[in-house]
Amino acid sequence: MKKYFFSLILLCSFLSTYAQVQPEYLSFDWGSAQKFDQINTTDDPILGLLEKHQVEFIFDGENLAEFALQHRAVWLNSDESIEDFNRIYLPYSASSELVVSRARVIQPGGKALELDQSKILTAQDEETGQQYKYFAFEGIEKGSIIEYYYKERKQPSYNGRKYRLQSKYQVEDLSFELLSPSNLGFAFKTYALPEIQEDSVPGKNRYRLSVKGMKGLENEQSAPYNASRASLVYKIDENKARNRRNLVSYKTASQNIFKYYNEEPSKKAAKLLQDFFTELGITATADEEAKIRTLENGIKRGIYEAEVDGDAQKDLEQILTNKVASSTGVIKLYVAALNALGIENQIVFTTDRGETIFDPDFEAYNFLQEVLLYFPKHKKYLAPNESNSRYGFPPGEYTDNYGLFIKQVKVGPYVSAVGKVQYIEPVRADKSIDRMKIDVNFDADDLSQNTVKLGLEMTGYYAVYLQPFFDLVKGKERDELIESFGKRVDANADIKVLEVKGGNPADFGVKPLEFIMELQSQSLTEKAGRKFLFKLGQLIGPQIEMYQEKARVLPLENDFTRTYFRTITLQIPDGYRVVNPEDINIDHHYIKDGQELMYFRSSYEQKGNQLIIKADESYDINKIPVEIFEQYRTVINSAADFNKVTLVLEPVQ
Amino acid sequence: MTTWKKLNKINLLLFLLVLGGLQAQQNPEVAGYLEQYPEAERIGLVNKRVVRIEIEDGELVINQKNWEEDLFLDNSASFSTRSSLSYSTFFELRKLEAATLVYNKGRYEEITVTDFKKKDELDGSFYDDNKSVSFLYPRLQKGGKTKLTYEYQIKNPRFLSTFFFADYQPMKEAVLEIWADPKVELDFATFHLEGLPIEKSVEKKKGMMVYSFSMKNIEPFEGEGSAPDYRYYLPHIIPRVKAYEYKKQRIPVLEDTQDLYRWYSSLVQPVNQESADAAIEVLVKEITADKNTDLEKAKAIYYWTQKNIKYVAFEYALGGFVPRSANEVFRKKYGDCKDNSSLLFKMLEIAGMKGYLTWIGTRDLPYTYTEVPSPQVDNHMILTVEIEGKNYFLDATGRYLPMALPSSFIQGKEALIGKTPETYEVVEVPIIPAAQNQQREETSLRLEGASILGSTQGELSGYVAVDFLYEMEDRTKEQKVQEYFNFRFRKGSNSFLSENIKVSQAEYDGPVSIGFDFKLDNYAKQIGDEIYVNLNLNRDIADLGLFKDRELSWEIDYQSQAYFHNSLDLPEGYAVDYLPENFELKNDLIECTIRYAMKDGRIDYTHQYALKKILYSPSELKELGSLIKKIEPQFREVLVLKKTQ
Repeated sequence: MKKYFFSLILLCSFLSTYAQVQPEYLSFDWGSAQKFDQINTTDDPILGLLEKHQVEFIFDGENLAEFALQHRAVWLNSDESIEDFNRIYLPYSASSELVVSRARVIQPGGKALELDQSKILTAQDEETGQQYKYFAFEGIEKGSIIEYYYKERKQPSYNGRKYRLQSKYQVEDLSFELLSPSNLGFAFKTYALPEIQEDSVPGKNRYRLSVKGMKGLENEQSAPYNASRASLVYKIDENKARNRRNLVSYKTASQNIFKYYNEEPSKKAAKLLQDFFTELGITATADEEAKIRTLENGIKRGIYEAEVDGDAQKDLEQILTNKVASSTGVIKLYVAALNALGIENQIVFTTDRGETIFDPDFEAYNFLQEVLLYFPKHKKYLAPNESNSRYGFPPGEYTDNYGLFIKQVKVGPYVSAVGKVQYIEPVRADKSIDRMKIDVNFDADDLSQNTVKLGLEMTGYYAVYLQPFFDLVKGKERDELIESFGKRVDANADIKVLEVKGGNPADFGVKPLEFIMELQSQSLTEKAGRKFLFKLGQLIGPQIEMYQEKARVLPLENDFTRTYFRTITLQIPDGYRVVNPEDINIDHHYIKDGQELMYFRSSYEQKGNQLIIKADESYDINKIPVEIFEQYRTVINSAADFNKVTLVLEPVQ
Repeated sequence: MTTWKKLNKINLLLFLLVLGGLQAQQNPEVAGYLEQYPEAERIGLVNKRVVRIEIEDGELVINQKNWEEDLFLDNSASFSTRSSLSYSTFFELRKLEAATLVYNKGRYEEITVTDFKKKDELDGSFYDDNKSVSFLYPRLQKGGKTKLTYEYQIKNPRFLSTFFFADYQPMKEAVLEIWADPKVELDFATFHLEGLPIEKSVEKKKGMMVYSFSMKNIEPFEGEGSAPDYRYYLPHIIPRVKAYEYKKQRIPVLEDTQDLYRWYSSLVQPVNQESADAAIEVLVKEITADKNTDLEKAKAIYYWTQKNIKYVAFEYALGGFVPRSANEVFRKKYGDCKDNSSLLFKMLEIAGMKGYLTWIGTRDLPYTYTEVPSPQVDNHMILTVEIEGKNYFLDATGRYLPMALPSSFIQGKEALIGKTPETYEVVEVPIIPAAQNQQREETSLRLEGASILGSTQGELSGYVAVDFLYEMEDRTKEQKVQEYFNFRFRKGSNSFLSENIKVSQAEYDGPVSIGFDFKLDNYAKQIGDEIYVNLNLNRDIADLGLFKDRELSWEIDYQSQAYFHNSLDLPEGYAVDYLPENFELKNDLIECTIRYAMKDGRIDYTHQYALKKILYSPSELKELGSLIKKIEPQFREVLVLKKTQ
């Protein structure tokens, strides 16, 4: 529920000369239940019979009003699908009104049972402003059809709106329709759907799309599922009455956003801001990045980001006094603080690429979802509203995606802004490192017992979930947290934590978070007669595997690029030799345009009684299209293969 | 933007100011408590509840007032800014005041919370009367305090609430006071107070009896995963009104289980007075037509209900205690536990059997009816039916549950069976022994280089089968089934890949047969003329060693056992060079055996284990830990095969 700035977008004045018209949906009727008599049922657990969306904009005096209708019918043929659909929650905001809602169950025999209006319940949440109508269908049996529709009158949203029109199951009859007064033209873009058809009915423009037999889309491991679903985006584009086109553009949005967030703080707010810097210990001599880090830690640990978005949570003075802000308020605070510190910054709006891919070719406000702050001098980002992220490491889902960068421009004494759509480059793989240094010794009296000294170093995305909060984890909880890393090597080992470095929140981005521990393990070595089998691979912990072959349909996307460096020093017990060190050697990689984008590489070197093993792995690419999925699988699986490498130790003759 | 640059010049001065400023803000109270509780994020300074029970016009009027004050000891304070309180029809929120006390130069400045947001809670049951009110503590930081005062009107004397004397944070003091009209008789059930410095007193003040319980300097409690509900270990008191006197008459409320039952019974009596709709009668006749015994008929009815009535819970006010009529549930095809019981009752009645509505607490509630004869003791309803002298506990909220098995979450609990409007019986639900919840597999293995090829026939029974069937429910595509099998029946390592999967179940409540072939790459090791294979392909029981250092009990859904027989074909030209020794371990907690034998050119390996409890205490876990230490080396024993000349 992001509210950032949509309240700031000035409503265009449409001033119409057209007479008042009735919304189309007033005449909507769901028809008789018999319309489904002829359906071809299958063995599938679920089948969508009908899904209709209708949106209509109508002048109500000088203002636009929006009326929306949704009508669905789903055939349910399994316990799961019945349990997924027997309760329906219809959320609507405080500013909209759910006008009508009807629901019925059509049993396999054709008997229709309409739900009594008294069974449609309501609930509200003052904190989020969300309201619900909800109900449970009565009389569903296996093979029943549930059918419902609802009509809603709402605050018009025409600056960019996305409809996802594909779900997990097939829909026989899918349709979308938008109606607008004939002087208002809308622009559309469809994704994995046919183009929208435009025509007109008396007094109205009509935009339609209809698909018979819309295929369901199944989710796959690490797929950007929601972003892959068929969808459409629309926005108002033209006001013929005033002969204006291109009504929704990032140009005005950028100026409004900039103005809103860069408002000169009041004298009192400026003073409070200085006090805040003092409190955080932001010293004037510190370098710019150090200031940014300190400020961010101070805000993310000291200012509570509330769901409530009242005036008090957006007003700088109150934010700094009460230490509570809404998501909008938090951004205001950052911008004001950065400006006061003289640190150049740009507000960037983008999307979570797993949900929606920012389309650089269609300007619509629905792409302005998530906020980043960009520091051009350092080419780094900060995610103001994400408590689990830190400067330089914004949520990976917001990167590797386009975004609207809002830059300040000065023309003489005037300060304004321009918006530019640019690519948000992901953080490179060498910035997020998971490093293991492992020394293994065998107990001289019992070779099946090992002492393992384990050094772990984490940076970047590997450290960002821990390091900024590590000082708040204490006592037993802290020990258990550190030990959980050692347990990856051997869940049953006795673990002693020796040292922690970089455990201060200020260390993030500056030095790694380091855990050093010692494990007494009896599960690494197996006895085979006079020989010993040392499970070398187990030292790197269980690895994700993709051994199962399957045809991949959707691309695979990782949140962030990453690198693993592992060095294992094995002290070969006296009187023994390693029979099969060559089993260690694995090398799989993927090179594109001369650049190695992924690899797993393991090798060894014997120095006297020491076997020194390296097993390094890196993924400098987030998005794996289906075409290179097999290459990705090979690299991923080679780490899982290494995890199974077993060395045979035999007595020297 | 220019202010900061000016400050550059007076950098040193600023630095000094920062230090000075920080020190002035330090709250000395914090340091004191941190010395005592270095790991605490906060300390509860005040946690006081005063309950007033008065008699007005023959009715009990109950008011509960609470005071809470917390001091925040570290920089996580701001994360506690949002707070909320819940209320409902029975707990009417009368008053709510909240404030932050901000420490500043030796004194606290009080900032009152003014904005409260109400919410209808939708997270619990589908429809209930649970609401919450949330608010934000302003300026909450290390060294600051939160102060909360709230008052409930308790609308039914049976719902006096539990008071806990500990929390996950340390507490300086916790106080429960009950001010009651002397004509009110009270009882206090206490739990886990043994050995704790609790002070109790009873005195008369201002014409009221004052029962007071207080404790000081209370250590924080730490939770652990898979531990039973906190009621199993947090010290607490459940106050209860036994009876009161009005106009010389003693009016019982909850003196004992009889009173509780009388009340429950009065709530359910109006239900199912009407006769069953024809549709129910027709259905019962149809599904029991070919059934000859009561047991068969009851099964047909029970399983029909499991399959056809979906779970949707309604807990609105007293509606949380009153089942809906069988006709209504049948028509809607959904209901909650009490609705299902109501429908089962009617359907059994049509088939000529008598079912009894039964109240029961799930395993989350560690109480017996004798200890706590109040609605706090139970939270679930089932239907009991007695056939040929045996009680069956029917719970149609789930699927696949054989008639002979109670729901796993009521095993070992007391069931309050309503026999007539006046009489009841309390019966203990059995704990189903491990042998009935079994995973049994017969596997033949063949070596192919470093890979193992295998074929498994298996059988799952009891709760093991129920869990499996639930998991399989939405796996209609082969690939999804394969993914599940690769994980659920994994052998050796995550290289395990299954195929040719077959699943069948002859009877709805019978065992499930499974069959699959598999490949396990990268497993065996061939060096020179020797092959090494570890036949311990399932080592699940070793995981139990993880719990050896727990402070709380470890709860599992049910007892279970597993049996694996792996038969390896000896590769041609090879003989056994080293066969590991057999191993056996058996006591009240677990069982584990591993056996090796040579037979007709095959190596027969069997491994069996059983978990014989549903709740392992910390000392039992310690013992388990040392047992697992003995089992682990057995799992590392490797079979050695050697080339014959």
